[in-house]
Amino acid sequence: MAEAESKDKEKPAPPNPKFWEPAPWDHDLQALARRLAKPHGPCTADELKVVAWGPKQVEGYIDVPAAKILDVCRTLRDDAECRYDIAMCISGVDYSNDDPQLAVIYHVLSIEKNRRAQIRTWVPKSDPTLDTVESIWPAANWHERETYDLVGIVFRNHSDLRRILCPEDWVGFPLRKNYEFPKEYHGISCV
Amino acid sequence: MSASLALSLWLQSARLQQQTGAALGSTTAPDSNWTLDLLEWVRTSWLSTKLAGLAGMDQAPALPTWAAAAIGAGIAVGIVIGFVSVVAMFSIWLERRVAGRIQSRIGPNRVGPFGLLQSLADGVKLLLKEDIIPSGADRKLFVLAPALVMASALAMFAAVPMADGAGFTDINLGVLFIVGISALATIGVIMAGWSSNNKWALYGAMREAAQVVSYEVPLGISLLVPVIVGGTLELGAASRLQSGWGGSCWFLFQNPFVLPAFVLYFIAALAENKRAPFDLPESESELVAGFHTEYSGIRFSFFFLEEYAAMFLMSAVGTALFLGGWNFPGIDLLKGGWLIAAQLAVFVVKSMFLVLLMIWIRWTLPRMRVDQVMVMGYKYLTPLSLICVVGASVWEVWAAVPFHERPIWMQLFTPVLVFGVCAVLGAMLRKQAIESAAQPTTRSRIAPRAHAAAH
Amino acid sequence: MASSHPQTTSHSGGTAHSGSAAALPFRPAGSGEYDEDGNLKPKFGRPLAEGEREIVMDVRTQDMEMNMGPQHPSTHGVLRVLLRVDGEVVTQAVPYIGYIHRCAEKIGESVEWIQYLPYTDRYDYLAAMNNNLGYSMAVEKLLGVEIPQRAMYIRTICAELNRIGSHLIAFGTYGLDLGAFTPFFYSFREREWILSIFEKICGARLTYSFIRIGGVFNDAPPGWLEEVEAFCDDFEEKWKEYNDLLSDNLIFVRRTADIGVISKEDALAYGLTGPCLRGSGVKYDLRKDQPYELYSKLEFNVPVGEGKKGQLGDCWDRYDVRMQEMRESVRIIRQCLAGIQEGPVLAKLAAALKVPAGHAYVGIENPRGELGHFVISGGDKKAIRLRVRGPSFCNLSILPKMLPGTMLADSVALIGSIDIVLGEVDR
Repeated sequence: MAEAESKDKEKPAPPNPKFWEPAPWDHDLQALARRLAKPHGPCTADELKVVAWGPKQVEGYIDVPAAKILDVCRTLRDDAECRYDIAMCISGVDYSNDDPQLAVIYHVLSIEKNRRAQIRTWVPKSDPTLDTVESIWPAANWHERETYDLVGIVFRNHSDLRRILCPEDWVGFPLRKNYEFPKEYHGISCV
Repeated sequence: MSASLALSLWLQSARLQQQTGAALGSTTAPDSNWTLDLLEWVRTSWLSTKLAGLAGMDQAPALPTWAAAAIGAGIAVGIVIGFVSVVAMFSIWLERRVAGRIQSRIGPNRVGPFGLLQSLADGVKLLLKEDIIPSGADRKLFVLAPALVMASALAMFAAVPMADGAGFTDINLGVLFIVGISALATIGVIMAGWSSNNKWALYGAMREAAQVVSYEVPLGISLLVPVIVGGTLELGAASRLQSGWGGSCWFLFQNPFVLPAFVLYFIAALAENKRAPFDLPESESELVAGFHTEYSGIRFSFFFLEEYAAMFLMSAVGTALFLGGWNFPGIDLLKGGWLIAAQLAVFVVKSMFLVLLMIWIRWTLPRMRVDQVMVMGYKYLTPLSLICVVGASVWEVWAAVPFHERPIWMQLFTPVLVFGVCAVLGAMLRKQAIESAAQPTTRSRIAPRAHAAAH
Repeated sequence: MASSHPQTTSHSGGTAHSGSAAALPFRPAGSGEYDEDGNLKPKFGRPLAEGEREIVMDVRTQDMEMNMGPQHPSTHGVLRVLLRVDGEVVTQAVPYIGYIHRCAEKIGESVEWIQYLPYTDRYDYLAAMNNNLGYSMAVEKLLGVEIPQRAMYIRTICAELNRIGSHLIAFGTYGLDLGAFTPFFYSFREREWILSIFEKICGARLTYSFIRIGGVFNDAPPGWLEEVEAFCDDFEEKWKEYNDLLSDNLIFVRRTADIGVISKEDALAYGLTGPCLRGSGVKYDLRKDQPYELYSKLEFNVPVGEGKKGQLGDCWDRYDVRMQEMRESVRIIRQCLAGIQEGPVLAKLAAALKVPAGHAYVGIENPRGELGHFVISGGDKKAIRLRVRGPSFCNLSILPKMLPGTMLADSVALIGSIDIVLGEVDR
């Protein structure tokens, strides 16, 4: 094991630059951030933080304030520069136990412009609530239900916020880092 | 239970026959009460005489009429049940083998020669299976339903003459009797669906009710066409009327409107028997298994047998009224028992051919939707069958004389028309198949250095 | 009181269900609800003109609730749809999923990078090669590892063969849903061959774990490429049989054309991808628009629905897109066979793989749509988060919108045309 690791350090895999750089269809996040800021978008320039592409991060993000997620998403869909018509993936992330916040990452796709973008927002673990974007992309309905089910983020104004994959009476949110596996479920041993 | 039901139906039909025969002047074959003859033969046979001698009598005593009738009916019911079972099992075997052929697989071939005993083995398995009645079911109706369904199939069989004078009975209102009794199975199916306490089964029953009621209409009307051509409702008499031209003067060739009527009858029979593409009452992809979802074991096998028995029966009626019954070119050369046997064989083979067609259609076509089935029944089949009835009547009135006295062009018109239609359809299908096979495909070549040197 | 005298009710303005009326083959019975005056409210009424009256038979009927699934022949697995039905017409549908939920994403956080690979087989078990590919590419993106050329060719061949296999199942089971048994056996005949081809290269028939991080597990055995070519030759002939048997069959067309029409706007709004999106006329294929691996070098068409038999975006269009895609896959495989060269098939990687920290989302074109793997690494042996965006999951989410107003038999046709795999919906 250790031998393999040291070997790995001696001969690192050759870097493939195309993986580190944004592809032609990845939206230039700086440009997108400018678009999301006023006057076109709902945010001020300070509120948007761009985590750019790079060897450390590979994929970049725009961090947007949780309070404005609905407006940001509306801009993403309706703005002439963006036109993101598909909410491809909405993921809730619990980075670590030390982190007091949960992240929600939206991967969106524009078929019209053949472009992709990612935005991220943070909600505190103490009050993990966020506005639903179901009204913008109906596809978000099930994604948000799944995020609620597995990560425990409550989406305000969601039309049908129930558990979707786990049973209705499941306790806890499995993808939280502090989740403890149940010993049994309805008398069925889980160990 | 089903046997007793069949028995009562049998006695009723025999009584009906006697009464109507007395009232109208019997047109049936002379030996139609052959079961009583059989009893008389047994009574005077060597064994009976010896047994009577041991008891100190000259000869065995003659049975009272009611007892003779009951025993005769019992024998007939036994034969009917045996025949129905054999035919249904053979049809099941045929279905599975043909389905195997169509689906490029083998089908059952392990039990008996060519897998012929597979149905028997399955029957034994079904007999041994646990008989489950769902807890919420209406037990009486649940138990009665398969018996009723089976009884209707058995009773229908009693009225089908398979050879000249060798039928169980030959009612002079045979067509009416069969159409009437076939509707009895529907009641059984509705009972099964209702009593199962299962929503899918209820759906199946409701669909069956709607479908069968709708398709009885074109079925009955299209059966009127050969009745008009032949002028009789009696199946045996209809068969005898088709014996001209050395056994090939079938109703199909006597009147140009019989062919479309036959097609309509066949389609309506498919729907009546819940066969694909009209198998909505048991459409397994929508209703799980439809009306027999909750049935298992021997009760399920009754539904299963009934389906195949009814298929054979509808085909037998089609054979008797459209395809010349037991007549076949050259069959007149035979005499006596051989003739009866040959007629029986011809009749069964013709009916089995129609069964084969039903099987072929089932494994080829998708299922229709319930409203499409209704639309087809009411908007297309019923008016078309009415047109056929009118057309056939007009043709018969115009011809004015019995078939064999008509001018030769009129006699030849219909056979030429039938074969012409068949030839044109065949040519169209063949052309389509050739065009489909001639679609271009791509070709390629693997790169010369595609293979790694060492393995 | 179930009196059955006709009542006349005049109402102005559309009810909640107005708009469904046109889609129905007939007008169903009343809603069973009464307004303040005691008049029966019409159910699927259209807005009535001034002075116009609607006659409603006052038979109090009630919608029936039916559980379609989780054990039902046509839900393609353990999908359960709670249907409210008015006779044969579905008025409401609520899908319940999760019956085979295994929390693959939690497993992804608990096992090492390479160990997770077999779990990817298990979500869309009809296209396990494609799942392997998607996961491997996501990890490779973080690793920044170069894949050998020959590995890419073998990956592409396997992925496309698996696409054919998966679409064959879609074709066969769709026939089964509509009551045609025989196409199912025909499609399985060809699929058997694909599976035996896979068995020859990786030993498994369903869950392959063949495409690995850094390449493929092993090289093609002798004669394997020839067999793939023989399959391609044979398949194109067999493909014609499928069309003869099902595609142009009048009953099949009547059952699928104009049924379950998904408009382009709906398809986009509900995040449909793959054949469901292309069936609605959106020409979008990741292999063409955002090419990965070798696809930028290969020539192939992206079939889209054209509304040949009915409206654009109906069940027949989605079915047709899959049928055409099978031929395009054969084209791709042939080009790969013509271009493949010898060489290594697996990049050298450490056994205990540590993946550099970062985020990576990789979407690939699965047979059912975009399979997205979103991996977050903290630079350790295990992932911080491994998110799977299953195409079936998203495609299924349109069901509650599409089912109301269809007939029971059409709902089966609709679910079949979406072509879901519950292993991936539930993950």
